[in-house]
Amino acid sequence: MGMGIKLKIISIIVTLVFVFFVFKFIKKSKIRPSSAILWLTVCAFLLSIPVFEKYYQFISLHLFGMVHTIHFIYIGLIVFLLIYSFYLTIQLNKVSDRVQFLITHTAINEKEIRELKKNEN
Amino acid sequence: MKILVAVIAYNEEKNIANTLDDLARNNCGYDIVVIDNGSSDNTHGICEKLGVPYLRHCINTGSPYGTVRSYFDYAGKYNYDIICQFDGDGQHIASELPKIIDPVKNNVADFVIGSRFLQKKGFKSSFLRRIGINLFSFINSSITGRKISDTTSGFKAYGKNVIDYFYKTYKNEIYDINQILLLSFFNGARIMEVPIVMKAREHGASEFNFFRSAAFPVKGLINIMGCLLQGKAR
Ligand SMILES: Nc1nc2c(ncn2[C@@H]2O[C@H](COP(=O)(O)OP(=O)(O)O)[C@@H](O)[C@H]2O)c(=O)[nH]1
Ligand SMILES: [Mg+2]
Repeated sequence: MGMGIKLKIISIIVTLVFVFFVFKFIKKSKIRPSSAILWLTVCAFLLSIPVFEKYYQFISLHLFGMVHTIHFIYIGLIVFLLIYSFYLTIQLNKVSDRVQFLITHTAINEKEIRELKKNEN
Repeated sequence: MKILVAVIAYNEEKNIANTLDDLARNNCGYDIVVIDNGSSDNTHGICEKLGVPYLRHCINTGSPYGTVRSYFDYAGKYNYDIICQFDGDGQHIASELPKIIDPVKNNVADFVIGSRFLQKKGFKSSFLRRIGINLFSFINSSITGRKISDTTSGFKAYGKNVIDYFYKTYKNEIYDINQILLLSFFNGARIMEVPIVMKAREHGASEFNFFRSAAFPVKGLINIMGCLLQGKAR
């Protein structure tokens, strides 16, 4: 039940395109180093699938008792994506907390400045 | 005693002048501040013209609860003892304010809710919304051990300990009405409800469309759960 050579080539090309984009964003400083590390690790994992297929087959069969390696990889990816999107939700809420704080803070400051200016005139 | 009435407004240029006029004519010794929640209309211009102090959010926070953080922080910073929330859409009546202020003033409560449902008069909200209001009133009554009939009422007065709690201790985002009530309760606020009268809206529409109404109870339940867990952890 191995990957065909065609599939291997396609998956490697797709991953390399992905790597290319990650580097493009790193170059423009549009991605934080911590996020870049995460996504490069993901790329490394994706690249390793066609290259080290035998090892994944071994791990999935003997460690998890799964005959179909592909299921093992899918499940791994899904678990990763779930955890990561949950983490992002938490981060988003944190950002929203801070935005609320800033809105209040700037509003109170703006009022004070406005009234100071009025008193000057 | 320093008392503040926070008039919350989002795109209320048609209603805000009447609201402020009502407050000016029935002022029983309080300061007024309008919290303009990032309106895209001339709400702030009208406040400016009438000489009423206003805070202006640079971004709309998406719901009336986004104004709560601002008025608590403002009241905390300027040392107010009592703060009332007052809707800028003209549904609240200024001459009713003493009813919610007095219990705090007389030190018999720290969190006073003006309820529409304790007497027959006035505007009562739509049928569907009343189902939601009743559900949450029941839950909140059970938790606090106090009879609450109108949890979603925006006509409220808060005392010093509630102001200080939200100004100094609880710094997270405020996004739900049950959250304000239960966190205050767990912080030791004495909750009280008094009968008041409300009017129907003259201009514009309420934020509650179909989807919001459907999501509201679910979000509320999750929020209550969170507050209960926080209260237990204390
Ligand atoms: N819809 C909405 N209302 C806001 C917002 N910020 C402040 N408000 C004010 O909150 C008050 C209550 O809102 P409304 O939609 O009338 O709710 P209802 O009276 O409970 O139906 C009004 O005075 C609004 O002007 C916001 O972001 N959205
Ligand atoms: Mg209203």
